[in-house]
Amino acid sequence: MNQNAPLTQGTPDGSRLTGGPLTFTFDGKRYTGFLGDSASSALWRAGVRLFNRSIKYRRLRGFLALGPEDPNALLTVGEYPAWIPNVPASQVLITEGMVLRSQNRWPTLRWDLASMLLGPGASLWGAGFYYKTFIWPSWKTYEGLIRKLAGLGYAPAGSDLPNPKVEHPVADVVIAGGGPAGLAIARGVARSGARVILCEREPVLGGELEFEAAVIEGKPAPRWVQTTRDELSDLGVRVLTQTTVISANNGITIAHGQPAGLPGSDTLYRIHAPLFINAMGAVERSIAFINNDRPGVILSGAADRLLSRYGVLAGQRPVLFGNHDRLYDTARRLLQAGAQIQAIVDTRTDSQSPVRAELQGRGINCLSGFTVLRAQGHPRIKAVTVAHLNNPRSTQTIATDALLVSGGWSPAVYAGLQNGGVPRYSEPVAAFVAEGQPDWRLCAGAAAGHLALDDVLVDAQVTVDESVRRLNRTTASGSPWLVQQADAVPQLIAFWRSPASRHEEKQQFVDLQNDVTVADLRQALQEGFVDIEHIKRYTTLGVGTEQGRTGGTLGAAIIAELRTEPLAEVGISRSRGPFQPTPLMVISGTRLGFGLRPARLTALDQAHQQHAAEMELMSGWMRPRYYRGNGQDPFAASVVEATRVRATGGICDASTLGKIEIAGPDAAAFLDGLYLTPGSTLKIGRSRYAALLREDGIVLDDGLLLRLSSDRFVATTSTSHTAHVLAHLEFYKDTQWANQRISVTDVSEAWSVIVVAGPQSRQALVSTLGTSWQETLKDLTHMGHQSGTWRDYPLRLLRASFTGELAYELHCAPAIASSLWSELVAAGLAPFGLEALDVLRVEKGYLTSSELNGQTAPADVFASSMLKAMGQPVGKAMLNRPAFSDDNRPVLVGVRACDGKSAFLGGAQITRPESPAHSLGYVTSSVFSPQLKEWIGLALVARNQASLGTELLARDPIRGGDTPVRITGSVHFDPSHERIRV
Amino acid sequence: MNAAMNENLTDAWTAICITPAVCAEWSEFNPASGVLGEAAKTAGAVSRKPGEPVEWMHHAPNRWLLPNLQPPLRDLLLTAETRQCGVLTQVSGKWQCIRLLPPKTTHKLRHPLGAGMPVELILEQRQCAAIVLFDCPVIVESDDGLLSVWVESSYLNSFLEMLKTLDVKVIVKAD
Repeated sequence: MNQNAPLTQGTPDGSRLTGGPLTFTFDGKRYTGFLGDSASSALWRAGVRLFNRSIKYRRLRGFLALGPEDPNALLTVGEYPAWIPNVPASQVLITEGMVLRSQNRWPTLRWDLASMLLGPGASLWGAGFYYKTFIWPSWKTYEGLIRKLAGLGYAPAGSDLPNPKVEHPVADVVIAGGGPAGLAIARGVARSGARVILCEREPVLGGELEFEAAVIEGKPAPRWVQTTRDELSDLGVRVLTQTTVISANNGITIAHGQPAGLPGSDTLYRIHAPLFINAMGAVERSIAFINNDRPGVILSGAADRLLSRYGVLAGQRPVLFGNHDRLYDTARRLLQAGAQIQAIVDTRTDSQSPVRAELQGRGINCLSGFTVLRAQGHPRIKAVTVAHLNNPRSTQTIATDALLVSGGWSPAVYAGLQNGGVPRYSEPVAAFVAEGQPDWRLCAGAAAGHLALDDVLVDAQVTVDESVRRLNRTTASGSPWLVQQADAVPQLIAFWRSPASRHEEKQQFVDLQNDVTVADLRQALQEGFVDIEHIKRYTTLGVGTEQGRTGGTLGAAIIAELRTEPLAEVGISRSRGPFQPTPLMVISGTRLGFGLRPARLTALDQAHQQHAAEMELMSGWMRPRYYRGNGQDPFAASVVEATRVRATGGICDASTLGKIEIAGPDAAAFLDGLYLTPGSTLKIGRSRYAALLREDGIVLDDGLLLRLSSDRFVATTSTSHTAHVLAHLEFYKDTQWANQRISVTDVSEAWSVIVVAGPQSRQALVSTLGTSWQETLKDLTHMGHQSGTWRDYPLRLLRASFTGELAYELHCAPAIASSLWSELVAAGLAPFGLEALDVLRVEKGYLTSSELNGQTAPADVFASSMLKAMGQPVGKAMLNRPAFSDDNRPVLVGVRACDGKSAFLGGAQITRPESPAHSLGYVTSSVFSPQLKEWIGLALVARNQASLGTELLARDPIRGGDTPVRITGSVHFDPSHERIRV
Repeated sequence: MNAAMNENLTDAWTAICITPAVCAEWSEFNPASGVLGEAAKTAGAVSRKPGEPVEWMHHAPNRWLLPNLQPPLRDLLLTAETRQCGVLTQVSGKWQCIRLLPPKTTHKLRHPLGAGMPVELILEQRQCAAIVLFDCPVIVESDDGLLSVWVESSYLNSFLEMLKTLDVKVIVKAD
């Protein structure tokens, strides 16, 4: 196999390649690849060995692995401003014209200025150096430079990616992993009739069967995979390739589908299945030796994949290094492909592998009991220094262009260690497996610590039986999975790092992504860190995108050696989902752009648009803040609109207010038990201001209570509290008033509400509603209401005011709201928005959630007359708490500037002038009053400081400084309320 | 709603949006009363005569939505109300109905609502369910496999925009 096969010879012999050639660029230089190539394989075939620079020391790196566990090769794809950073080179499939860039280097990958500065001082940048440096004179001095140097890719300035799709598939079992275990389990469970979904992160199924020379059930591995896949299709199994499980919980598994390894056509699967099976295999790991991060040092499994998938040799003259018999299987495959194996360095002294004997017979240098001390060459590997473990001083140098390393495999336990799973060290595989699994989760195959294919398939059958039992089904009969041929049983003996001096430990890398070395681990221990979770966070071992897949167990083992403790005692750290880096836009699912949150519209939304309203999202509703015809900014418009309401009148959309119908023979008694003032004493056709308390005595909400008949009431709520009040009422109906004859129904959306306010409101209503309403309008007193119709639709007229003017609320069917609004405009009333409404209500001292803020009790904010009329509502019992009668308890007051003209804003803190640092309360609302021609406000101030006329300070250092203010009554305008009673 | 509402001659999922004219909610004090009949006591039950609009949906404990309330049933419930069996509340304007029709070529196409809920699971053992879908409070209802969504009116615009992002063609009709 010639890795530099000229294009005229067609597509190289790789199982993933399907056509081409394609051209793409990497760091501005043009290269050629094939359809199906990943960026890693295409670049490697082209002779590229330098992919990136590491995050801390800016060391040159190639790729270590050919999966998401690769800690090195993260590239930027595309052009600024919409490029995509940190894309794993092994996952992204190249396309015609694709633009790729290396990261974390300047000006070029080969010649990076920062590495020249950071490299010589590397010993200064040990573990946790940032806790001990960059302190004087301040962190800010260094922040700019550190931000330039730190991190990997640069964030894009925009994105034109389409939204991800979201699906909620349903199954009985979801299996993560489409290798031999996952395939066998899927087939076995599906045969029982269960619904199965199988997720596999690669584009093809098979796992290591892609390259392992196996024969199963008499079929070569590729054919076994294909026939199994065909049977899965017949059994109705849904197979999702290029889909990675990123989170698994009880009853719901989240998987991310990303074809071609690049964001842009993602699907988020929220799979509803009661049983989850982790068959995600095992991840190969490296060994720590000097310069084990050199470009050209790759995992032996990566070399196997590079050859079988892409027809690329990892090196023409490779050396293999490891601690198990699978090395020899890999060597034989490479030899058959034309590689000239320079040596196989086996740390074990005694291997019985027949393949080893065969290779020795073919003249391959097989060194037993040896280790690789150092990788030599710069920027890429050119040789290795090896020595016998019993005599490390006696070294040999072997020239090579690639070092293929394997220190064994770590089962993919990240899913298995969530929800109570615990790690247990398994000596035979020198790795941790997950135990203590909850009922809804199983681990199988290599993920459960089985490395030989025989054992994997036996474990798969056990898993099938257990799964079927948990699903209360019957196992269907099927032929056993006989393995006639497979790669060797590894016979692994743990080996973690080569001998090195203390100084040389700084070049033995454990976590390549975060430049964590053996020296860092030793330093952490010296500085007193003990727990593996603390060491992880202090050294950053395993915190990168690969989440410790290649370095986690290795690091734990080295820590164990340094502490001379068993590895089982040290344990491994727990990673969290997502199990693989996932774009935030995918996690958002449909909650992107318009879908971020619904914006509720009233039936009058079109009318507001026609009147050029400036709409704003408030409490989930689009509401008119002001109307642009009245002023180009909210302040100017609010002055015009509020002035007009007081002078003549106006209309306002109050449809967002909550409306809850409480009905039934026991409705009145129910309301007595919940509202501050009893509902049972309310006459039919009358309404009353009413408030609800929480169980702790704090005011929950206020509104109006209308009595429609002897057993039917309507309670209005503030816009932002409708759901809360409804839940409160329903809770008590179903508990304390259970079995009573009460109905609670949310009718908020069944009624639009138009406020008609101002001196001319009655006249306008007479002309709008017609003669049938004339008498009612003449006779209706304040807080009275009357039901009838308008144009054959139900209409309820309520005389109530939140503006301090003669005012009415028209509760009408949404179907006629627009017509009614138009008629009122034609009658001479102009719309006013929420800014003006706020001015009008502050002038009158009326309350909103600014004052009923979840901390105020009735005595803090309500008039004494209301407190005297209090019945026995929920929450009353807690009002006797001493804290509610404390002298410092806040009370609602009015505030105005002492000079009659200065402004002050809501949120300003109220203090005594001589104690400006001691807050007595704060301004809850403030507006400019066109009537009074000055700034006015409401505030909650400690009652022992709140006498009328007291001069205090409204402090607002962030926005504008301090304003001397004086305490006034809360009703600033028309304190005797004459205008309401017209 | 007539038979034509069940036909979709296009290649896209289609949502037909209808505002019911007369809509009410019936709330029963005693679950054993069974004013609407024994079948109405089953959680998630729906009553519909073939080819007719839905008559009632049992979408919450002791609560039924009657989206097309006609005199005979209305009179029955008003009588039950006077006997203090429950309360009939007028809610016309509160609910909007969105009926989802699959494209004419329906080969294994995923339901657009599957982007927000496990369609098969929710209605596995019931004909209607009150859920939150795309952050909107809705009642989903199945008519022999054809799904309708009853959404509160103020959420309608957002819900329809969400359907459009899922490549659903939206048609708004009056009842």
